[in-house]
Formats: sequence, C-alpha cells, structure tokens
Amino acid sequence: MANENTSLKELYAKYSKPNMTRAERQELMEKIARERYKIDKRKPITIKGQTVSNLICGIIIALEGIFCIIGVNGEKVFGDTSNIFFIAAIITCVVICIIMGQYKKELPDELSKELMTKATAYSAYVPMFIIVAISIVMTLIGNKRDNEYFKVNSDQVMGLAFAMMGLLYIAKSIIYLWLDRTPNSDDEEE
Amino acid sequence: MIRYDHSEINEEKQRTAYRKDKRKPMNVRAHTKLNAITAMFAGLFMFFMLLSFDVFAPEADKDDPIIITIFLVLMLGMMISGFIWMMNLASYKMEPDDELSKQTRGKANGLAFAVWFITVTALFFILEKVRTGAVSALFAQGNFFQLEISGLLTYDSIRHFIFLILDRQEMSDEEEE
Amino acid sequence: MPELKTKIKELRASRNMKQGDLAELVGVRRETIIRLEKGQYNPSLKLAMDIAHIFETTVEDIFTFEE
Repeated sequence: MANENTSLKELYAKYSKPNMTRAERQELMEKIARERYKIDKRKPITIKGQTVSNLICGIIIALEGIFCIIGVNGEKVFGDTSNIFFIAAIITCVVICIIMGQYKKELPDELSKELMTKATAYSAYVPMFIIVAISIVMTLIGNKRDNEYFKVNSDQVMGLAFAMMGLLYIAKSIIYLWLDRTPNSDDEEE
Repeated sequence: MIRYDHSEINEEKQRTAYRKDKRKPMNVRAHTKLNAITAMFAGLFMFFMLLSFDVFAPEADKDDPIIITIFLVLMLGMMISGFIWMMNLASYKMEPDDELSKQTRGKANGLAFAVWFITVTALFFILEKVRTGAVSALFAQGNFFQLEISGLLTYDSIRHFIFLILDRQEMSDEEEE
Repeated sequence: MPELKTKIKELRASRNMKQGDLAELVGVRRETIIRLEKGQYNPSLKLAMDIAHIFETTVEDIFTFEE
C-alpha cells in the first residue's frame, strides 16, 4: 500500500510539471486513474455493468419525457398521476447513483473507447426518428381517442428534450452492449 | 464472416475503385466542406419555411422585406450549393476516409449531437418567448416530415463542421504540398 | 484480404499467464485480449508495443497479416 501511494505521489508530481504536451498529460491522467483504481478497495463494476446502469437511467429519463408529453395533454387519462411518475423517476435515478457509488468503476480501455465512439455515432439519428414516430402516433391516438387535435406545445418542450436525451442514452447503451459482446468460446478460460 | 471483415472489405473495394478512377481527386476536407455547406443551407431553408408560414406569417405582413431577404438568401444558397455539390459528384472522385479520419468523424458525430440538441432546445425556448404558440405551430401535424428533414440536415451540417474543426489540428504541421 | 494473426495465446501459455493477468499488465480489459487473440481487433501501435515488451519480443513476431 505504501508503495502504491508512493507511485501515485510520483505520478501527481510528474503531472504538475509544466511543458507537457496534451497527449503526455492525457496519458499521465490515465496512469493516475489506473493507480487509483488499484488502490480503491470497493468492489469493481465492469464497463458493461456501467452501460447497463446508464441504459436503465436512459429508460427512466425517456419514459419520464414521454409521460410529460402525454400527461400535459392527456389529463383525462392520467390525471395527477403524472406527478407520481416524475417523483418515482427522480427517486429511481438517485437510488441508482447511490448504488453505483458503492462500486469502483472499471476504466475504459482503447477498445471500449473506440466502441463507445462508434455507438455514439450510430445512435445520434435514433432519437430524431423515434421522437417523430412517437409524435405521429400520439397525434393519431389523440385524434381518435379524445376527438381533439393533439399537439406538442411549449409546455412539453422540456419533456421532449428529456425524451430525446433518454432515447439517446438507450440507443447508445444498447448499441455499445451489442458491439462489445464477448466471443463465447473463450469465456470459460478463467 | 464477421461484420468487422465486411467493413474492411468494403474499404478495400472503395480504395481500389478510387485508385482506378481517372477523374480528378477531391480530398476528404474539401468534400466535407461541400457537404456541410449544402446541408446547412438546405436544413435552414426548410426550417425557415416552417417558421415563415406557421410562426410569423399569421401576424407579419407577407411582404415583410426581412423575411423575403432571408428567404431569398437561403433559397439561392441552397440551389447554388446543391448545384455545385451535384456537379462535383460527377466531376471529381471523392477520397475515401482513412482510419484517422474515421475516428475523427466518430468523435465529431458524438459532439455534434450535443451541440445540435442544445441549439434546438434553446431555439424552441427563444421562439416561444418571442412568439407565444410558436412551438405548437411548428409541431402541427402537417409539419412533422419537414421538421424531421430539417433536423437531420442541420445535424449533418453540424457534424461535418465539427469534423473540419477537429481535423484542423493535424493540418497545422503541414509544411509544404 | 489480409487477416490479422497473433501469437498472444501461445506466448501466454508458455509463460502460464492468464488473459486477465496480461490485460492488467498492459492496462486493457480481458475482453480486449480475447478479441486480439481472435484477430478481431487491430490494436493501436502503443498497445502492440506494450504487449511485445511484456513478452520480450518484437511487434512483428506477435502480429502478422496473412492472406
């Protein structure tokens, strides 16, 4: 432990030196992060585990955004329960953050960074398509159900923003988990 | 055959076709600039059409010179850049992406969504402040398709511009060509 | 179309090294080592050199492209 602390101190001392290039600084930051990860006594959570928790948070945020859009217009359907959804969503996200705080997070390596960049690139179009699809469906349902013209109005802009953010997290997490699937044959080696 | 191999094979085919093509080459930065400007004009034009018909038109005078000027600038920009884009597709061979430019594009795509998202959300809030009922008018049923297309085009334009900014760092060390 | 072939598995076996141990030494995940062994991932130059350094050999000895 004393040795690990010494190497961490040396790394911090190196980091505080001036005249380092940006690439050197980044590399040193990664080394420091790895050293701190080794010293940390909490149980580790893998990158896949972190992605799954992001997926759950994304689902909650997206559902909350969609309920916000429906809730403002569909008071006849949901009434005051839209508030309960909002509170439940916040509590769930807070609980997830507290649970995640009990674990040390595995650091991303070059492959996972590359896959995450790919996943982000692929997922960027998904929220746009889905939001329009949902809006069209809601308009059709709204017209049929309440005989009123269903609109996304200014009250729902934040709900729309939440829904898009949530959908982005969901798409990014699912695509990353799909890209990072481990080949089965070598799973039992350990 | 795993998907990874398919993309490598396609790249190889693209590179071979590029070498055999006898047309003049257009490098990655040049065709990205062209795509960015064309997408920008097209996206802004479609969005401005929605604004002028659904948000400003009911109250504004239809002969408002500001609206007409913006309309003309965007329409001419879209037509000229679109024309140049099509002519260049025919006359030049487009350099395919290499591994570094693919990495840079991936980063640019991620950043572009954040920039686009913040810009669009802020724009809706400002529009609502300037003209009450603007968001409802924009999201009217008949506008979904146009909103979608303008959203995709503006996102496309932003990601190309961000790629050019990120790619610029490598160009600073270029000494001669 | 050349295929990436690696000798990481053989070199590991000769040193009684597990995938997880090698992963920790070079600062990557075990999944990355699995993909490298299967030739499903082209490592960065730095990673390739780090692995070569661990096995006390050259990059060309470990990574080859075969038709």
